[in-house]
Amino acid sequence: MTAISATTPAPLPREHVVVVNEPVLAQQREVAQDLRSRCTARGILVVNLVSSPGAGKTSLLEATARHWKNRYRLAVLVGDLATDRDAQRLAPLMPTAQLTTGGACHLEAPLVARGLQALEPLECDFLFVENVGNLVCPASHDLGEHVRAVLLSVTEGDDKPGKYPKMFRLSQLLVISKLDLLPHVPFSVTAAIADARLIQPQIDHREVCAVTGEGIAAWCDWLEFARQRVLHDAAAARSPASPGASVS
Amino acid sequence: MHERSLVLNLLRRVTELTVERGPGRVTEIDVEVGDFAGIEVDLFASAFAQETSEAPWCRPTLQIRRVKLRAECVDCGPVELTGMRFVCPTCGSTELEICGGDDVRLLSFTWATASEELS
Repeated sequence: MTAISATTPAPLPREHVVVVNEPVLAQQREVAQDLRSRCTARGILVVNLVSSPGAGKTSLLEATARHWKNRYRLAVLVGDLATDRDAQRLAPLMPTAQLTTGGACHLEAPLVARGLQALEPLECDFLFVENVGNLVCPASHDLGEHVRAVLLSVTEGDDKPGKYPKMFRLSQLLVISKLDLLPHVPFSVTAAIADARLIQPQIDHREVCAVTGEGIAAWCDWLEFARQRVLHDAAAARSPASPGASVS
Repeated sequence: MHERSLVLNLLRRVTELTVERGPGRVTEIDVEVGDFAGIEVDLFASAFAQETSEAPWCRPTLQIRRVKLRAECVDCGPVELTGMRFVCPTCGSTELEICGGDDVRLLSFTWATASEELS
């Protein structure tokens, strides 16, 4: 146990302990769960896209929009410490809202909720949340996503999952990006996947190159499959056979 | 550095819980930090000291209880994990469900009042 104490005013005569026993982020998680439920009810798959800075999140979203063209309706919330450069790149391709954290290293559910208001009326099939580039702090924050996809570019090193276990443990998909650079760097796709699976044995993986388009179809297929589960859940919630399952 | 953000969430919650208690002050806050919570305890404590150094706070004591990462193995039941390896230390299974030690929890706080009648 660590105790941090400092000089305090003279003690008051009566003290008592108020037991709480709840996660510090309990209220944020309620906001996140509400967001998730509302998006489920509308058949929207919410994807929290996380990575180190520069792993290719924005490029992947551009390639995704190019691949699907108008097949699906996409929208994105773009988190950045400063500037709206990524949002400007994506704005021609899909409805976009900027979330500027003002220096904070991660997004939190209340900020995402405010960003969603900027996208209303939200009419989309896939809502991407492009998180701040950081593999540490965003790991602890549920943003209301259905799936968390973690990008790892081949220039970063195949031993990264073990260095950032919480992020990889809480992700459902590992996307290995910048595949076109693979011949030029000492990166083993097999080793990266194996390292990630030591942390999260159930993690799926896709390998992509946003520049050449390699692997983008497989990534999009994975997203479509994930959305099917959301549509199934939405239908189940609407079904009269499941009383009490309605979502407002 | 999201430790400061966590501290602000912690203090906001404690404030909510004390707002209807009348005159008094918080003298101690007791938190649990899991090994897999994803925070640096010294940074958390430092942010706490900074955020509580001015009114309305009166430098409450921060008690931090560290807890190991705990999981439920499908074959062996509850186990403690070490070294961020998500493998059952008894049977080697990776079929584990995390059941503790992955979060920061507000356990309790101490409320001091001048009134003889506890609120």
